[in-house]
Amino acid sequence: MSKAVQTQAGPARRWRLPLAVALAVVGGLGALWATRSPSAPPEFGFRIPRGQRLIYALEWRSADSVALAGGAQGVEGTLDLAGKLVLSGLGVQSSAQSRVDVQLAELSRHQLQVMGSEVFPDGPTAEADLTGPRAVMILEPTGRVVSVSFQNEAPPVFKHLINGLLTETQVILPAAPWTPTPEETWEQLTPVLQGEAQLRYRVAAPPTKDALQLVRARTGFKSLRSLEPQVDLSRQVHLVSSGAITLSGAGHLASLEETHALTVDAPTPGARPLLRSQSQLRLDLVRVEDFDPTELERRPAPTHTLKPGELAVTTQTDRQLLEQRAEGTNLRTVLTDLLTFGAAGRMPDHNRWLWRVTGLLQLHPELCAQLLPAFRDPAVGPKGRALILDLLATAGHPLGQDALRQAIRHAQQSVPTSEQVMLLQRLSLVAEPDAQTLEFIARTHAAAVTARDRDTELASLYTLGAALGRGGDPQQRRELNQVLVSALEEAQDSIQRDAALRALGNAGQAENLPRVLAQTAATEPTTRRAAAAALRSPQTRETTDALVGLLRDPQPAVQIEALTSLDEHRLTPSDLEALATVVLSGATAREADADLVNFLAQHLHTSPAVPRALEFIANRGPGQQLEARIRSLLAEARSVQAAMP
Amino acid sequence: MTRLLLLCGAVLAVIPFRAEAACPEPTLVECQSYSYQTGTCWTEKRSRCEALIDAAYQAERATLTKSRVALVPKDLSSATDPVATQQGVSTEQTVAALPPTPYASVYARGSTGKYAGVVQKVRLFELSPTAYLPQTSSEALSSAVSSFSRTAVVPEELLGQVGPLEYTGGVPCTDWWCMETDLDPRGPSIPILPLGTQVTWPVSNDVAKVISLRTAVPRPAINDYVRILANAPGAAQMSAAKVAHVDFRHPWEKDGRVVNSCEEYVWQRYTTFSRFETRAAELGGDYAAVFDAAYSSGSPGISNRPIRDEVGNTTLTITFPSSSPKNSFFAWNWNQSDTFAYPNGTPRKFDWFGPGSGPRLAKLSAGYNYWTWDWNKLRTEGQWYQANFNIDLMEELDAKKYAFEQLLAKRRATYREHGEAMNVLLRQVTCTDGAGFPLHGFPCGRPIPGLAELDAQVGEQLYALDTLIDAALTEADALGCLSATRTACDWSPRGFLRLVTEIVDPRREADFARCVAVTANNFGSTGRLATLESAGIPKAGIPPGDYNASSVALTSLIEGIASYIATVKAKFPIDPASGKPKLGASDSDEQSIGSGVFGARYGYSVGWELMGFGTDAKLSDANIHVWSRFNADVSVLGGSTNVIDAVAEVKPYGTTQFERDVHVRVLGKDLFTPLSGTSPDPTWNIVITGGVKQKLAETYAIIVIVAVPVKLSAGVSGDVGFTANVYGALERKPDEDTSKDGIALVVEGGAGPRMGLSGFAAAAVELVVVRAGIKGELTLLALELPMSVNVSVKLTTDGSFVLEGDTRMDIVMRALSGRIAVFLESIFGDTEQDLVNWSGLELRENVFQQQLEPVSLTELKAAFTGVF
Repeated sequence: MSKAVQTQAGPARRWRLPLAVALAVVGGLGALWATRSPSAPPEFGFRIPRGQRLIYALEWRSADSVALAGGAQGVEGTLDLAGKLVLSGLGVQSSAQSRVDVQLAELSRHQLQVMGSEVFPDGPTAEADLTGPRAVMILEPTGRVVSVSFQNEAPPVFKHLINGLLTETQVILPAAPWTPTPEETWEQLTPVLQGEAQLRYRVAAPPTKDALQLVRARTGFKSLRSLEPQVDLSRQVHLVSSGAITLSGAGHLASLEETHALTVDAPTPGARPLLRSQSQLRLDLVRVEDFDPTELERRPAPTHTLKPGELAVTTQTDRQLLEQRAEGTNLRTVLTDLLTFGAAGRMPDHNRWLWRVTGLLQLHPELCAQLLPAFRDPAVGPKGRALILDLLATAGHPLGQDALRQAIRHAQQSVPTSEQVMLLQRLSLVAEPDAQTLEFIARTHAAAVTARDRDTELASLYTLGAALGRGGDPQQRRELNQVLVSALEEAQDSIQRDAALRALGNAGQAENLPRVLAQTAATEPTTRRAAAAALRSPQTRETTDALVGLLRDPQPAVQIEALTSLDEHRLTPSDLEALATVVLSGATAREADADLVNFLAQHLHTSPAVPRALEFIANRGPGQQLEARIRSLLAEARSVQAAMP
Repeated sequence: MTRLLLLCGAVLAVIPFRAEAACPEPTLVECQSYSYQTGTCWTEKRSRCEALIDAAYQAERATLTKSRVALVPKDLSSATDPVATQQGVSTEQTVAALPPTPYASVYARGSTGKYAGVVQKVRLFELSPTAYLPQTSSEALSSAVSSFSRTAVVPEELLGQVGPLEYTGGVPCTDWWCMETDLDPRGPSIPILPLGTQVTWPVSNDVAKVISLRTAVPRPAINDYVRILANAPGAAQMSAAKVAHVDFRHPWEKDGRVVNSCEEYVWQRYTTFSRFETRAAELGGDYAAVFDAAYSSGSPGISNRPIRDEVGNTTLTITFPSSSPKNSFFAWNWNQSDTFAYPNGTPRKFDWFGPGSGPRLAKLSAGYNYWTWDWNKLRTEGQWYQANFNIDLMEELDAKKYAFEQLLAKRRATYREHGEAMNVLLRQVTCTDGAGFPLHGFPCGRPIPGLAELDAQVGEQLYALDTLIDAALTEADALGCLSATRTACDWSPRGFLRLVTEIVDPRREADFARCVAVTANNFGSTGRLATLESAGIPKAGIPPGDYNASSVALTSLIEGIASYIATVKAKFPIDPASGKPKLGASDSDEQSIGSGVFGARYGYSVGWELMGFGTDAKLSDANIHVWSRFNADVSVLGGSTNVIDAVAEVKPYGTTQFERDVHVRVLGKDLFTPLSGTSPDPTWNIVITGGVKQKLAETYAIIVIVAVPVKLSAGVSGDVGFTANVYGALERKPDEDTSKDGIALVVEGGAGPRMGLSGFAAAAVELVVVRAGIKGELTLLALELPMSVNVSVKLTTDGSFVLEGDTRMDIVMRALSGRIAVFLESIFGDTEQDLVNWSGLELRENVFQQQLEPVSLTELKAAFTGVF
């Protein structure tokens, strides 16, 4: 008889000696202690004491298929795993959390296929990879798994499977200690393999001294992995889920059996589902026994810790991706290419070359500095220099930005101003400019102002705005934004004013909106147009309304700019209704008709006002070609309207 | 205390020494290392490091310039000898081809655009009928279908015929994990339609194919299939009639021979080719099957027979060029001067004919006139090539050939544009002959202003292009493509389809454009066609008639108008719809195509227009407006970003000058365009990776497959540019006396966007025993819209104003073309699955070309009184 069973009696010591031990479901596998007082209702909580070992029979079968973001085919895999799951108590910490050694043993089935390929070449490999290594789980008294730790060198497949298993089977009680009542229900938001799921629990039968039965099911997802954020979780997700958990009177988990089927529809009817995941998991406690934990405790502490549901994707995987992307390109090839073709600004198989070389520079940031001699080489020419800066801007990391700044410093001394202006603006393309880069742009701007170098002054203003729109800490952003604001306020002419507005548009800071909005009523059409450009971001009620209002501007160029900015906004049917009202009033210029049609075509089915506006344009004689396009669009709109249920 | 001070002093004295010691002089290797560059000494020792790195570069520079041979993509590097490949096909290439599902998730929205847009939508529709629907309505339909599919049952008559269905859209339902709600092929529970498997919907997928087999419905298109389900409970929610409307061709079939749009007109006018194209669309990326379809004896075959309209009249006989190069690389030929020639004043010329060039030139020359294609020759050769070479290899080489064709076309266009630009310069030179008469376009022995600069600029562009052409030919040689024997480069099923469509497309586009010009695609009761049908054009001898009764009738109207216009013999283009002079041309379009992995959207509006030359207008009030506006977005893994937004416009500003307006926005940020001087014609090289909207740095898609994370990274790379070199001069001479009132203006130059973006991906799975990867490349959007304008109004010596001009715009586009596949390698062998496999839109067309011969404005005004 196991120690757990032996320690059932003794109501006076009910808090110190758990009577029902060791519910430990994988992931939620732990000991469960329950009171045995005939008068008091039983209480439950998870606890696996030092020296106690729980051995479960495990069966886990799963089949997943993911169509990458709606891709044509998908990535598929199946798992069929059967054997023993062994949980060995290493002690209960002061926080009442149990430390538990986790191990797989005696595997009878171990098939894992990804995209039709067997992961394990043979039984011995599977045994070695899955039964050799161990993990340590930290378990809260509620049953929540706090973390799972591995030795760094443990096979990735072991880490994935163990963490997945513990994640999937985590059983979380409403409290610890907890006194169940018949039919009691509760819900928990819990990480599972596919994302974050809402789990509903119910006490299935009145708790007795012999058994406590729970049922649980997944009722929905708060977030789903592998899918675009646009997936409508309330409409596209279909879920069939059921699970039964039985605790024995001794407090052990007698069995856990769960089945889940998850389907996520593609947004486009007819396309294959984005995700299909089906799994069956079964655990049966075989026995509870004592063991000497000394040997386990002597092992080195595990160093790679994961939270439940956290994917064990290491930086090694990131390197694999970049290595694959670089396809064996090396610095020598890059320099040779730059010398041979740099003057053209294009490489043979240019797009692939860019993809490979930027992959290489991300893989080896230190190579960025070694591109500088080529940048200084006259043979590379202006287009080659621009290409090198584009590579550095795309690399984007601090060493890439460092090299970029160095290159521009060199260019400021050695190339004509017109080229400098274009090179400087490559900094606009850096994804996350660091503090030094922002500082560098600001200094360049200040120097250009002092030197009355108009082109560099305006180019650096645009660039500063772009960089502020992408990076900088709040303090630095505030300080440098003031440079843009001052440029607007102190503008001497419309050229400076327009440039400052476009720079503010690049920055897209909400605090600047009042200043930009004020310029929508400027006298100069170019200024109103620059204001329209600046209102593209951020989108607010005010900016959208202002842009719709600018469609009534007397200048077609301002109207077209407003449309371009509205393209960046997510418009509601009522926004489109308002826009169509402007069109139907005849306020938009004929010169803007083609751009209007391009714009409206994107929203053809969003609001019935859109076809009306198109009809209006078609009837006012926009030219044969444009009218023909509108007629096609209207025919499509009618077709779809007729197909609507 | 004193001791303490001494100690402090000693410490302070030591600090600089220690700092010096902490950063000793670095070696080159140290300077090149990541740890050193991110360490504390980098700043201090940077200049020393730069000197070392620079010296190393200079030492190697000579060898660097010589070592480059060619860029051979890794996925072809194992197949450098196609003949050898033929005998011992590489493992990767022998992986069995997956069933083609190329468009399962592709969407296309926006205008039909050119007729090529119709072809594209047909292709999408055939492979995924609803994919081409706009998203909003798709969602609405999806919702309806979803509720429908859960309640519907398969009708009785289908039960015996359908099973066993193998639903392969997701996990095969043949094993234990089939949920009870899945379509169970084994038992009486078959009437229960699966939850989420959308059997009612994916008519193009395997379910439809199986239904096709079981029910003998040849092609269960959406109408057929919905009809099958129409008896089922719940079908009322989505009647067959309503869904049928979604297929834009449905009304075309329903209205018999009647033509109700220009799209339908072209469709019917080339009926037999339309049927072939529909079949080709169904076959997707299976070009070998497309080849077979072309040769089928009945419909949809097209070989050895004319293309006919809906009533059986011949509309086109496909005639192949009398001779063709062995493959695209042989199109470079030393007898074609525009493939290697330079302007006279070019300082640097690529040496095509130097020492060692002989063998390659001889090879190229031998293959220039190689094929004399006809239908029979194409068939025998096609069968031989398919029997002897791996189709995947031929397709991959096909992409290289296409890239080379583009390069060569670019070189020819650059050379041709130089000639046009030179003519512009020449026209500006005026001298007099011996008798004192002005001679326009003759330099009279003087240097032509601006010509030397033009020669130098174009010469450098040509030199750069020649280095690329040379590299491509070197690579082609390495791949065996310049061999005299037959190789995998010489033929491909996809190339066959392109050869055929390139003959048919210009005719269809021309017919489409003529139809639009006459009808504005307005076949309603208030449109111009209705007027023509009721009144005819008596002056042109065109009687009233039912011109949309068939494509034949409409063709007779279009040709009648064209022939009448030809008799007018005007020196200016005539608008066939109004019969008035047409002093301008424009084009615009907007398209959105792609899937959740990769997508692209573009919109443009380009054109020029002369206004104020009508009967009542005062000449000095005349205006000219030239514009080119373009924008494009791309999406990667669901994240969308604005790649470019560019504008170039020229229009009069005040009485004496032009306003030139150039704005360019790249990756969402406005770039400053210098206020003075010519536009530098810049290019931006961009790389966009998944999730770009949130963060430009790498963002990956992580897919969890049975607890194993598979990490995918996708991205787009390429370059975008925008030419904005249109300039003008203007002088208004207003006068109340209309005989003295006048204007002089010149607008010339070129504008337009160009972009070439490709999609790539990478995959990694963190399992030691499995290696993942990605092969292939997708042309996401390659587009050029060059517009050239040269229009002038000048006062001649006889006191009359003369208008002349030459404008042209072309469109060259390729979108969504290529294949990206994920492959996994393990000791059990390799497997691969397509992420995308698309054969998308291709368009190479002259959008407009107008040549205005010198015409006096008096003559022009007379023309405005109306031809019709």
